[in-house]
Amino acid sequence: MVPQMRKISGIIVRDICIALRSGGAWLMGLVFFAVFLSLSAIALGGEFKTLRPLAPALIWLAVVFSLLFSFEHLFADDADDGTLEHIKLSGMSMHAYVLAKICAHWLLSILPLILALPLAGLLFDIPVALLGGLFISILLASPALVCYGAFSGACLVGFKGGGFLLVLLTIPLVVPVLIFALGGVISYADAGLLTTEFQALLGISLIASAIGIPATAAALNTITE
Amino acid sequence: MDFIPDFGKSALYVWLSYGVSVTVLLAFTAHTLIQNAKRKK
Amino acid sequence: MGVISFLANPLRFKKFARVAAPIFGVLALVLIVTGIWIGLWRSPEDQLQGHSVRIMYVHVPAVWIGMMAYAAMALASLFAYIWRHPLSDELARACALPGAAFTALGLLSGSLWGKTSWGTFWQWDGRMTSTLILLFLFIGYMAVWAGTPDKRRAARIAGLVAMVGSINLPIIKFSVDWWNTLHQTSSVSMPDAPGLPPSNLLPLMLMTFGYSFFFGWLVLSQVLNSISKAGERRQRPAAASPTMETL
Repeated sequence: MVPQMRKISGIIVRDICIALRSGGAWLMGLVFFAVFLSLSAIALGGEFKTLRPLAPALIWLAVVFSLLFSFEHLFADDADDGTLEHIKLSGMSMHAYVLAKICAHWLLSILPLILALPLAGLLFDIPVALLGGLFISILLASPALVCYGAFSGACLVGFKGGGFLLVLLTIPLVVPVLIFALGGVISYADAGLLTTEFQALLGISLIASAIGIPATAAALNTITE
Repeated sequence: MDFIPDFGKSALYVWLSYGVSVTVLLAFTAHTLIQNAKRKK
Repeated sequence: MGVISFLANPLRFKKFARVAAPIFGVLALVLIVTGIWIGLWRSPEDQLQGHSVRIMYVHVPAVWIGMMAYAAMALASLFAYIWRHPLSDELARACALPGAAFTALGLLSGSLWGKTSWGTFWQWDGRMTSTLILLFLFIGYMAVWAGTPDKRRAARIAGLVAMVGSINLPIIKFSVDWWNTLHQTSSVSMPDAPGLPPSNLLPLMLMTFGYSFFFGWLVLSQVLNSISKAGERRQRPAAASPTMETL
């Protein structure tokens, strides 16, 4: 167990180092998030009166899309440079490898978005209670988002122009997440933390991790076969 | 023209839905029959 | 289980399919023709919906076959995944295109029904929305098959996609229904089969069985055809080698 843990943390550190040395490519998700929100506000006319009720949905969509585009290279780079083969030969379990990649990706792509949430809130002038709901809903849903995104990314390794297909494969799986997250944001303002929606979101995240990690590992095993 | 039933205001939509459904079924039938004929040759 | 292990043998499957496919085809033809005849000419209009109830006879079977096709696809993928059975891969793949087409037909006839009853072609009704998402799942599955060059790998990856999708389908259905009750856009929701009187239920049943047999005929024929194509590919190099020697 301990050597596995060390391998997992090793991969997490490695992925973060690679990302930090990549010249800011890992921040592109955050830039996309900002651009998407600005463009939405401009397209909708820029009146806070019209923007405020739409803000939670827009912010959630920005999160989902900026994440979806980030999964294309999650495993593709490791498959290309032979890291994946080495991991398999080293005897590390594929599940542990997937878990490490998912944790690193959470730190690199979801954490910046969560930290940027207050700024997004300022763009739309939304009340603090709504911002709190958004924060909790993204936090609770993030395991589901990362697991399903990683699964689609693993399925599309070596796929030409897989970016759009990745979105297509993941969107149906993300529909329940989106529904319960936005329901939760709205009911959080009056009902607090223990709403049905947040419980459902937590359940979905648990199911997604239970399905997503083995399925991702299976897809990667198929590729290295 | 008594043979063709009159569906009142929804006539267009009823005929359209049946028309498209039957067309798709026929297209599948034609494709499968052609493939079957090729296999048996 | 007995049936499945019996049919897992390709030769026995071929024998079964060669007999069953034509029977399914004839049954489908008879049932669908009678269904359309009764549905359009020999059944009364509904008291509530009027003549637009006739759209239900092509809508409900199409959506039902779409869902059944996805379930069959996921089940076949599961067998293919566990026992690495190429026949199940072919079976899963054969379900995809008809399944997607029937789902699309269900959406189209549903929206035509909506125009007569809701006054709009589309409502974010629970059934319509989850059928739309089902169509997306089918398209994703087919895209994976189409875009992966190595066939064995494509089969395994597409199988995983189908299985993960099928686990999510109930969650999607549940969440969409829950979401739909929040805003209640449609005052008239789409009627379900049990809500209809017997005179309208008969054509619906005929069409449902007819569509099911039609789907069965399509899938069995497709699997037979792809088996024989794979056989040809295997035989061709073997047939070529003697001519090489004579040269």
